[in-house]
Amino acid sequence: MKDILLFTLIVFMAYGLGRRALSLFAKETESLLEDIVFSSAIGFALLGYLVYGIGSLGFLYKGPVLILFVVCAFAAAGPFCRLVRRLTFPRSFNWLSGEGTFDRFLLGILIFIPVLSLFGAMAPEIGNDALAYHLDHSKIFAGRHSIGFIPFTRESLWPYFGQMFFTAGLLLESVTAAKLSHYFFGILLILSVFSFTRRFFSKKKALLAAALLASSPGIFTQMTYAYVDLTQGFYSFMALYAIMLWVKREQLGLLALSGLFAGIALSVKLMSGMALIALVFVVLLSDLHKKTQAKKVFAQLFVLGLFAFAAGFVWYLRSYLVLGNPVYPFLHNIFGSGWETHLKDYVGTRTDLLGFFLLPWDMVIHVDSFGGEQIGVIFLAFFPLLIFLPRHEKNIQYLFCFFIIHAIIWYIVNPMLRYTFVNFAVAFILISLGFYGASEKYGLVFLKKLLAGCVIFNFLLCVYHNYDTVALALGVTTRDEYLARNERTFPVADFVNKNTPSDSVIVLVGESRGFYFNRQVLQYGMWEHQTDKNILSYLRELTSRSVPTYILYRDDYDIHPFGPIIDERDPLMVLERKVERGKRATYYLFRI
Amino acid sequence: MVDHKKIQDWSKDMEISVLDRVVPIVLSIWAILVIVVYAAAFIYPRIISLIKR
Repeated sequence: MKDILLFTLIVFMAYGLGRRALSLFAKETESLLEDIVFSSAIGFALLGYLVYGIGSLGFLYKGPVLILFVVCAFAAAGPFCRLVRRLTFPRSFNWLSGEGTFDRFLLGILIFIPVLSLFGAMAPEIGNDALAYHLDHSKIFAGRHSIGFIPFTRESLWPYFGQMFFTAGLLLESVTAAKLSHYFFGILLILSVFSFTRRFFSKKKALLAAALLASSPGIFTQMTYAYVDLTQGFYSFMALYAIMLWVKREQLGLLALSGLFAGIALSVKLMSGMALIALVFVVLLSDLHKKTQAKKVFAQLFVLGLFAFAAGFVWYLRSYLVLGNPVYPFLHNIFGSGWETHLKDYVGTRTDLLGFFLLPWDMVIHVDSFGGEQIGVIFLAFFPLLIFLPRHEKNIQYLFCFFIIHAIIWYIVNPMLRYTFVNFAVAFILISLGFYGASEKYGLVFLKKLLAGCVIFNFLLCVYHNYDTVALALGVTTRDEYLARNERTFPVADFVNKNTPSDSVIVLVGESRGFYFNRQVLQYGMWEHQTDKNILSYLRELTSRSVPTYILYRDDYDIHPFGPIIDERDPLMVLERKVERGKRATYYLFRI
Repeated sequence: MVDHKKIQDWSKDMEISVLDRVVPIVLSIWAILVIVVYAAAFIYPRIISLIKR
């Protein structure tokens, strides 16, 4: 309960702060919902940067953060009170009332899927990347009271905007509040899709687009993990939303706001550069329609780029200053720092032109080849409905332009499904528009039932994904039982935490998840990349200084220099765990 | 007086063209095909692994 209250306070602050700042960029918002999504986007950006500012100065203590929260709460109180006064029941929630059975069904999906996912979001973390760095590094930041480079890590100087909320949550001793931030960005993405589609098209289409997005397995599973991809998706979508408003109203502030959101997305992940490039094409297309002079086009692109740069450059600059590479460890041939990465080798099914056109099929049928997330069967089954889009409508042309440019770059750079959540949103808007376009012409009663059936199936997947966490929330299982069943490192970390001195150093060999170890952890894989020093002599050096040193070895990892230790010594612990679907491995703990 | 021309036009409007019949059928067949393939490729192996577990 404390966690929910804490997070509600953060949401309230984000709205209030953002509402104050929004008036600098846009004169008015069309609806209450539009007001909420734009204000929250700006407010969370401000809060994230405030935490980063405090952290990079080394003042990341409970006191300064609580003082900051109190000041922000005062600043947010005025706009929040005005919001409450604007709420008139039931008029403010008219958009919630569906018109027919199908609409009411979609509305139910829009309510129940986020509610179910909330249980997952409040459960202990089990996501791989969250335990390997999103939450793990945030825990280290909170523990050492500053934000910066963590030795022998690959990611700690990546754009970490999303991790600022995890850091704040963990500093206030709430993993749940940390996790809820990512869940809430998912909710904001769904709401912004609804608000956008209602503003540019209609309420009916908005309801379908938002429900399809919410029922996409990739979205509702991600909402339960402390990742940053929904944060990236939300800010990228808000950048598109703002630019579409700019095309309509031609207020420079909206173009700047779009750049700002694109920059925040870049502060979450480098891959958001795809959205910025796609936005440039939308600007060019609108200028082509309006026959704008070349000089003015350059000025517009300059404004967009300037605000994106201003909002995002700091993360890349710090990586360059500390490690000599703004995108460490990538592009090591150019910057001379980093190493050859093979991230793309494990993603996608093909790399040729035909592969691009087969994408809709491949990413739905070969679900494991695109990073583990799923867009869902609805995308492929109803993709042909895009033929029925009213192509002459300019707003649809802009959306389609963004969709296709983003898809092309994504396919070339790295077709991991979670990097393209913004295009999930655009795709479901286009499918919704196509569906109603075709329905008006051909009826499509059977297809509507089929669509409803697919949505119900996705809902059942959501139930399956979350039933363990519902049992946890109801007290049927305990936190430790849940973690022992679902997280491979938990019993191992539990043994280490209970049986080693608190000042121990644990070298992880073949395991990347460090979050549940309450000890100083060193990733052997990163050591290999970042220093030429021999690790065995370093460990001997540690033991000679009386630092208790241990090796935690996972036996499916072959290339390492610890053979003599593993062969000669008796392990303190031997534990077999399921490490992936259909794969088991054994963990051994050795004292050096 | 009955306007026969108007009635004729109206009945012409009411005629269902071949395309109007074919498009929903083709779309439905595609969607069913996709759902069946998806079920075979994704759902079936998971159900089997669940049963085995």
